Amino acid sequence: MQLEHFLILSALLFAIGFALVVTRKNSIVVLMGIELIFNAANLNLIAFNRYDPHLFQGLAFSLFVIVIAACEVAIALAIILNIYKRFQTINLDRINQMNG
Amino acid sequence: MASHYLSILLFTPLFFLLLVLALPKSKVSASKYLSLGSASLQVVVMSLILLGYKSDVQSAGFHLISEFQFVERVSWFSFDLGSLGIFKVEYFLGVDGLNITMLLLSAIVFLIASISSFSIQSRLKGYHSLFLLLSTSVTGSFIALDFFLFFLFFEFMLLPMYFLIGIWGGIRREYASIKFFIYTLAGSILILIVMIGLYSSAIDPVATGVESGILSDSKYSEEHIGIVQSKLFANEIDAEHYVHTFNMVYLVDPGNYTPNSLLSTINKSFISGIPVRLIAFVILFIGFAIKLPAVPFHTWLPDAHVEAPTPISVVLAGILLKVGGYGLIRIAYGIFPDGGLHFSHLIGFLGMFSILWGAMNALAMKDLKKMIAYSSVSHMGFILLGLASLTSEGINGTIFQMFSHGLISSGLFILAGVIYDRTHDRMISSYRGLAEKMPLYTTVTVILFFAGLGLPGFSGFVGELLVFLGAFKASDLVPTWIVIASTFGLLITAAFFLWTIQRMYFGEFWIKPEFDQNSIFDLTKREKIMLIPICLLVVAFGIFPSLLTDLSYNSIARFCEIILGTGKLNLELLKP
Amino acid sequence: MDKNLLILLPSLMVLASSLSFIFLRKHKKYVIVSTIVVGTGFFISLFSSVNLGSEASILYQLDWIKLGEGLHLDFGILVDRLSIFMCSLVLFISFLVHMFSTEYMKDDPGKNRFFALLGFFTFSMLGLLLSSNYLFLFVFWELVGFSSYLLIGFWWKKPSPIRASKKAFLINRIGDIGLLIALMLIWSNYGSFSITELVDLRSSNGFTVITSIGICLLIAAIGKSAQFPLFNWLPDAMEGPTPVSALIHAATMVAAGVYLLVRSEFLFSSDALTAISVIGCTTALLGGISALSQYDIKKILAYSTISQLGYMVMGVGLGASCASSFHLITHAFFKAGLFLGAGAVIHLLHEAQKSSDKHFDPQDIRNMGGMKSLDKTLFISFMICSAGLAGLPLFSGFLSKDAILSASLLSAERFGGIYSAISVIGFLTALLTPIYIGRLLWYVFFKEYSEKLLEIKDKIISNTPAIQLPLVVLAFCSLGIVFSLNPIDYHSSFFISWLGFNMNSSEEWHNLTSVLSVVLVLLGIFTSYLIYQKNLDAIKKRLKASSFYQISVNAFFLDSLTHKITVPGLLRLSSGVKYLDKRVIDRAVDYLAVSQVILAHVIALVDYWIVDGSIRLLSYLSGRIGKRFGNMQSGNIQKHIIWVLFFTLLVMLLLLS
Repeated sequence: MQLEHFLILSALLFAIGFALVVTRKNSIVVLMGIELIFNAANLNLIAFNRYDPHLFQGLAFSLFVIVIAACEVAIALAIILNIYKRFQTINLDRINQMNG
Repeated sequence: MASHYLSILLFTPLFFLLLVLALPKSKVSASKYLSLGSASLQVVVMSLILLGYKSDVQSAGFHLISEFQFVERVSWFSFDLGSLGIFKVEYFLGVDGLNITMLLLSAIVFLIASISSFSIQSRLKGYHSLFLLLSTSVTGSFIALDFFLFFLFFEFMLLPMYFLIGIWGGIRREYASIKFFIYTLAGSILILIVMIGLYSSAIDPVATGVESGILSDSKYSEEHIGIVQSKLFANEIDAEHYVHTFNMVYLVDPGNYTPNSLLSTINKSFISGIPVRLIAFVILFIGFAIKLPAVPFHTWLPDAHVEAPTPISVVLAGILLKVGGYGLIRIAYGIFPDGGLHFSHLIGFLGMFSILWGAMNALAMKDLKKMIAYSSVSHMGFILLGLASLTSEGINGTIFQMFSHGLISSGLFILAGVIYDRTHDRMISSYRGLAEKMPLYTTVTVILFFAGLGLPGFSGFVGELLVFLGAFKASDLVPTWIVIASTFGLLITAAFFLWTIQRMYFGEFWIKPEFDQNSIFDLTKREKIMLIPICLLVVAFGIFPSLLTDLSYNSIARFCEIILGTGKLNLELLKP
Repeated sequence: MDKNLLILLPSLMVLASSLSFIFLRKHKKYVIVSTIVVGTGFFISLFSSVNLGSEASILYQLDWIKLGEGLHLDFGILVDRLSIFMCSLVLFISFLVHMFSTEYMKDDPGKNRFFALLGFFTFSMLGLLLSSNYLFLFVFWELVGFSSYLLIGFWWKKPSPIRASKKAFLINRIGDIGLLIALMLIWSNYGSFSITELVDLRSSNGFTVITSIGICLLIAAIGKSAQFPLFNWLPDAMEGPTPVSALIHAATMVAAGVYLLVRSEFLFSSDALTAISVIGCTTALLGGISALSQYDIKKILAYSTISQLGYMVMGVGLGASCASSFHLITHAFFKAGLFLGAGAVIHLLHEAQKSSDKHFDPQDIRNMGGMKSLDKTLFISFMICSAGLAGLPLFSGFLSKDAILSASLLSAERFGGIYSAISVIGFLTALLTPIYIGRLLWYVFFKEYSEKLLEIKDKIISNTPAIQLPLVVLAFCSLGIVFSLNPIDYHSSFFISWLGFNMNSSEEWHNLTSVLSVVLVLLGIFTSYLIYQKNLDAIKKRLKASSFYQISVNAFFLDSLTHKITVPGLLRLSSGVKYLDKRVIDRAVDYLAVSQVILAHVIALVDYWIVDGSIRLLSYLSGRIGKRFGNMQSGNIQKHIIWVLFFTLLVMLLLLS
């Protein structure tokens, strides 16, 4: 297994996640895209961890990211719930009250 | 009271104008009586002025403020322009021999026109307000002695005339009124150009003297002016002390021009080799010649006359044209005598050309009113001819001709109006033998036609005679052949008047079958009231011309003396 | 009161009676009153002339127009024997004509107007005669023309009198212009119009000026006195009522030109005099020839008048103004008599026509004949006046014509050349006169009745005294004895001595002239007797076929010159001028206005597309740019993210490269 394979996989994940973030209107799907981007980053971190003399920093960072992602999902879902409560929709295009 | 006669004369129509404006809608028809009242009051004031008027040599006026009569002189406004001096405009009215007869004529003509205005039926309030405004501005332009004031009144004539022709006129009234307006406005602009030049060049010597500390008080005196003028000549007065003036009496004296100015006689300023003063004269001359009108600036006149309602034709021919002639005398010649002398051949030629051209055109006209309009052009040619001569006879003739033409042409236009009122057709060929149904009308026509063709015993003769005598005498200014050619105008004038009499008034009675045959009736009372006094006046001034010439001959003699004297001197100075 | 004021009285009276027409338009007695006024005027004038001293020239001088110190136009009255005599003459003939007209015009609805105009004419004529200066002479000169205009056109419903009156006035106007130019020349050279002052001043100026003044005065006389080439108005003027023709167009107004020349005698240089005599003799001959073949009785007399006026003008040119004024006076009597006689004939026929309801031209001499037995008084007086005209010895015309012809012989002897020709023409005209007047007499009186006249002959009733009396008086005044105690020698004429003229210069030629003219007159009468009384048809036919006849009938085609060339030419010129005025000057103004408008439109276009266009282009561009970049800030988070990515990649790309 070469490093390139990991990087290609993570790039694919990132691209998929990014595509979801940019194109989908549903906030939950966008959130899922963000999760995919996180995981693409995690995959990269873990893949590059091999080149760490202590074999530690990448893993630590990815754990850190997973935790934060969990928090973020919790908060984001809470926000989405509130948005839904308020606007009766989670479609991003409809939530444009701050649009100038 | 007596010292304010001129202001009273000037503001009477304005006062009546306010009354007309204040009339309630139900009483609008009273406005014609207000016009009549204003005109009558003007005639009364005018006769008071004539009673107090002195015609001796000591009151000859023209170039001395002290010799003007009924003078009213108040500073109107002035600005301090810093280093450019002071800009001063006066409310300055006065009478001398050059304008007294014109003033009398305007009073008479407006009285006649206000009677004639009774025939106006529509929009009375507007009509009479404009009519009264016209009256004020015409009177004002005759008595104003400040160029600015004169120009104000001169310009203000256009506004009421434009609407009076454009609203109450005939079929092509819009064309005629806009043509009249633009034509005369062009003339006014030319005058304005020269006026600005004059303003920048001339000063009020008394006020300048006071301003620069040379004189202690502003009491008018000859020698004081001399002191100021000599200091001015020596360039000892700072430009910031100059008090620029529009005073036409001061403008006459070349000593009042600042030495470095454009129109000064000693500062040799040329535009492509021609002295600026001569150019200014030409510009001014064209400006007034349009108003006069002289051929080839005359084509507004037939159109305006044909379309204008009768009373407005009367005013236009009777007095408005004379403003042009008066302006030529007092302003163009008075301020630029050098130009008058230098171009006298050309002016004489233009006069001859107008006489012949107008008469030839009148001969070819099929419309009675147009014929009369062209006869006016022809008669106005005499004014140029007389002016060019710069002799006492010529100028007296010019002023007499203006007066007599004012009366005669008023009458003639009323005559054209009489027949137009009957049938709404002015074509000569539509009528024959009117004498049978309208004997009095025919009599008046014959009298006025013969007055128009200059038969002795009528006023037209005196003017033409004097002009001819003067023009012939001044063979150095007006070539003899021009005068002799002009005499043929008399023949052609006689031809078209007599031909018209033959075609319209004599023979078996016949009018175009489509007219109502009963519409032809003799003069009504109102028409008689207008026409018979005109005939009487025309005869009276024809037999006793001294009634008129005695008012002005001293001023005219002074005028000729000054113009010839300064003119020759200036021409010498202007030589490159 | 100054007794000389009496001289003014007749003119003022006549003027007053004329002007009172304005108030008495319909008054029945107006006619009588004005006749009486003129008659009284005549007697006053006669009375004042009797008292007049021989040298007296009294002037009333008033300022008419004052133009400055020492510069004034005056009105003045000049009284000397010539003017006062002429006044009496005018008043006398005017009185007779008034009297004649009371009958002649009695049925005319406008007769009051007629008498008012006659009165006005008389006044103007008196003014002309009494004026002390050329200015007022000109004033009244025009006024007589004006009254002549109104009187010729008296019957204004008919087109021909109106045309004739217009023609008369306009042709007179040409003469008036001549006089006006003379006036201007006099004024600019001498500064005075006064005739008496000019006598002293005249030498102070050059030859050219004097000659041009003379020529201008001649032009004036040509217009007024119907001289060649402007004489064709006078025959046309016969359209007016016959008394008018007698007074104005025979006796008085047309003589005004001669009077002017006589008065201005001192102003003429030798060149001017030659011109005057040439014009005069040409007119005399042309008028005489034209009179030969007319058929209208008044036209014959009109051409005869032209011819006689030519004599008078010729006389002035020959330096014999005395003879001219003498002829003027004798001519005034016999020609007025002839015209009134013609009027009487016309009146007879007219009245007869009215009562018999037959209509033909009462002025055509072919419609007359045999009238000598119809009205004896008329016949005899007409014969006497004709004898005066023809210049038979013992009659007035003989004396005056003799005087002029003697003067012509004298000049011919002195100067020769052109003056000899003038003299020959003068005698030739003296031969023509009896021929045409003989022809007239034959047609009117001696011929058998014409067919048309036969039809109404019974209705003709003799004229009333109002018509006959003037005829008799005028016939009496045509006798030579009235003017000279020796009726065959004008030197003994008390008229000439009373006027103080000097006539001795032509004495030596007098006898020759008398004999010659008697021979010529008798020859003329004989010729006309041969042609007309003997009725030599062969000669008549030959004559009629000749071009000479055509020339004579058409009066040398001067009329067609006027009508075919001058008038249409003038009208064409005027319509040309009108065309120029309308199409060139006015069009130029219009085009100026139109080009202004076009220019304004062009400027508006430039303004819209270029000035305003560039501004709009800028704003459009910035708008488009703004829109493009404004999309970036749409507030759409997803787009922001794309942009962030795009620019991050861009930055990375830049950094890496």
